[in-house]
Amino acid sequence: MELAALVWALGDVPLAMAGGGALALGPQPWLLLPLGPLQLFVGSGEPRVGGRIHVLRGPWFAWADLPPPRVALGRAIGPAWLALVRGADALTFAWELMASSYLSLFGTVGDEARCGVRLKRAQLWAAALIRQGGLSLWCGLYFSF
Amino acid sequence: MVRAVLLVLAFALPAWGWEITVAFTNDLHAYAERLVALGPILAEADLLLDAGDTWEDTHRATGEADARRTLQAMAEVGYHAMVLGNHETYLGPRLLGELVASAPFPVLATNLRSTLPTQRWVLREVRGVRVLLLGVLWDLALVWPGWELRDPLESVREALAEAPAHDAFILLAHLDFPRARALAAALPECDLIVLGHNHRFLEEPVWEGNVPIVQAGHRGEAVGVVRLTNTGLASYTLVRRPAAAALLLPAPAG
Repeated sequence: MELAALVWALGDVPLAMAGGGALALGPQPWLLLPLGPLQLFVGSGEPRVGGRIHVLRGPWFAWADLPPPRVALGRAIGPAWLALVRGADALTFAWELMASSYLSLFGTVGDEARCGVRLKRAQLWAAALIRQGGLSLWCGLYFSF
Repeated sequence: MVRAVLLVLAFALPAWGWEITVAFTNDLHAYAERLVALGPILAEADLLLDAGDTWEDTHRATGEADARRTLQAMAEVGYHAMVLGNHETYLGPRLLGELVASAPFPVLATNLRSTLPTQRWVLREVRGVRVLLLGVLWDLALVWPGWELRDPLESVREALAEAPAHDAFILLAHLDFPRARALAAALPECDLIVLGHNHRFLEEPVWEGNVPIVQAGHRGEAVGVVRLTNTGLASYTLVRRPAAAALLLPAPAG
């Protein structure tokens, strides 16, 4: 999976559940626009454009992405956001665990293991992602209309 | 002249004395049916409050319908205010925002900066007494993208500095017990802390200096009834569910 798509689809489970907007700067910048029950993804990697429709918005969360086709079911429990994500050829378990109001750990288990750390302060965030032995750094902001 | 002043004071002093009855729940965890059963008792209080963890129960994996049913039951019973608990944050910002917006009573979150239509403080006049209500949450609360959960004490102090004049100050707090005690110690001007989170059935208030902390179990198994006067806490009763229907609130003072 392309890096930007990975970060969008699996690397920010809270954002996926919240259905909000975000701007991400990093190796492959991307923008996520909230449009009611939809989120429109525009990135510099593949896919250039993607869409997400939210079917359930809490306390069970369910959404579907296209392209590539992918469905997810999640729940926020205790200090964690958890989601099972089914893609065309793999089932992935994505998680984010809040260590404090400003710090969380996140990762995925499934077709490939990744993990990262995220710092948040209100609308601003920064994250480091380790994947296939490589490190990528990201920062950005969350927004809503 | 002195006699006249004393005479005026003698008549004026009783007018300063007041008493209100506060009933409260905490950690209902979407047990709407139990709330309905307790309704007649709760409805007799001057002020009806809830200390959070009200609309979601992770153990039962409750859903949106349970949250809405509980809110509806609260509206029918006639709640006056509640504070968000950590379980409310599990509902997610969109559903939670809708629930808060549709609640017919203010939902407090003094230390949360978010897009939710919560309030930092509420001033409610009850039997001529101006009661200031603040609400804080902390432990295990999820901080969604774009939210900021601020230090409870700092947030309460800021709100107190901005809030209008009041006769009584009640803090709804949804956090761990030691943290509540620290808050009480730092806020001697607080008349009452109604606490949620630890599910304790407190038969007696826990005192931190002059500040009483009360908590009424969980899941609608009990309600707390407090008589507050101008001199502080006059009485506190933990009313457990099986006996609740047979009990009446203490008669309010004139």
